[in-house]
Amino acid sequence: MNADLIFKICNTAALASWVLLVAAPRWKLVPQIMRWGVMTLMAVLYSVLIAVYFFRVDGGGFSSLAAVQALFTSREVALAGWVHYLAFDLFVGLWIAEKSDNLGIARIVQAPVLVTTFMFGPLGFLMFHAVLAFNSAYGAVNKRNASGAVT
Amino acid sequence: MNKTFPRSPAQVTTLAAFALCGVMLLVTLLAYGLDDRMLRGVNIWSKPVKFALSFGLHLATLLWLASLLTHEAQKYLSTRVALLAASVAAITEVFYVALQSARGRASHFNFETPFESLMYYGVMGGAALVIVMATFALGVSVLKNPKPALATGLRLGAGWGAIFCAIATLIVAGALASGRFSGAGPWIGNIRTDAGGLPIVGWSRSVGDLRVPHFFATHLIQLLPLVGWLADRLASKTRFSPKPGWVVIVVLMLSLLLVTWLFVQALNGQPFIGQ
Repeated sequence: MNADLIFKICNTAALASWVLLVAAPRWKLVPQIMRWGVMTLMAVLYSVLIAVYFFRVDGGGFSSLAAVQALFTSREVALAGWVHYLAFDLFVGLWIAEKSDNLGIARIVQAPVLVTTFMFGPLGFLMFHAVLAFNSAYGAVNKRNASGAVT
Repeated sequence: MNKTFPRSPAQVTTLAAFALCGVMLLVTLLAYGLDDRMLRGVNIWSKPVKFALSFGLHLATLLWLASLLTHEAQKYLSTRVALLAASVAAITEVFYVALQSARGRASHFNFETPFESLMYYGVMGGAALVIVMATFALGVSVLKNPKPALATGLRLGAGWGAIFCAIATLIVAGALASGRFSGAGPWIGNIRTDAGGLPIVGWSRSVGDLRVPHFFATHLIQLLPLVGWLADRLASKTRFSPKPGWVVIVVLMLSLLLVTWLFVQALNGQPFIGQ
């Protein structure tokens, strides 16, 4: 298995998805491709890597910091961990974009939040929560979706 | 797909469990291609692949059996409990076997740790028993409460197929799991490995293998409805054809004879197809 090649392919796919999310028009197909293409393929890849390599790591596990560090000494498990980041960050990014669209938040405001989520997931998530808090405190002026159904 | 399906939350759950088996099949197949670890002389993922496939097929069959019932019978508590219990049990089996392969350990006949002993005899044995009982119950229900349009051959084939699948599997797989005849494994004889076995199924080509009668016993549930359906079609097309009910009964008897013969063959230490 060529771990470096798989790493490159996943990174490129994630980067392309984020560029679409941040800069492209809201084409209807984009979220579908992300959910059923990029994220699903990454989830399959992650599952297979974990199935084959996770339990081979001596002293690996989730119960102590040292055990988690041990997991990352395996190239394959580290790759799985990285794919996990990519897929889940993208999921959060898509959620932020869709929720922002529904609340009528301008794309120019979404952009820095999304880029931060791409680079440093939880920090972008925190920023979006600040935006949400601000939004609910001052009322959503531009609510596109009257029912506000998407949560 | 008609909109009358699914008819109960239990059917939705079974459908979801079937989908989970599909996901597990995909993941274990890919793991098979990637992993170089071996167990009993073959790729360690060979067993989880077969489990995901077989339990997926069995759940789909149970779901289909339930769809042969009247609308009222599909909502009976017994029908819903049978489907739910079979779904939970099947998922337990498929996931535990996969987990053990990921850990590089055996799932069946593994008493090396208290956890693995409990999982083998307690949880996996119990789950298998639950599936057998659910299969039996659904078979009886198809005979008792078939939907009005159901043809005789299909009704009898589906009902009796499920009932005898349950009974024959209970006997044969019970003998296999007990280890009384074959020890720790399916083989009866002194060559105890899956290496060099038949393609896909992995049955031994040199000694007796109790998985052979297990396979034929369990797949009665697919064979007999198929036979009944074909007999129905034949009867509706030609005038001089045997009654579908008789066709099902004759094929059932022959199948049970075959299962018995294969069981005896394995117990005598003879391979299904020798070298």
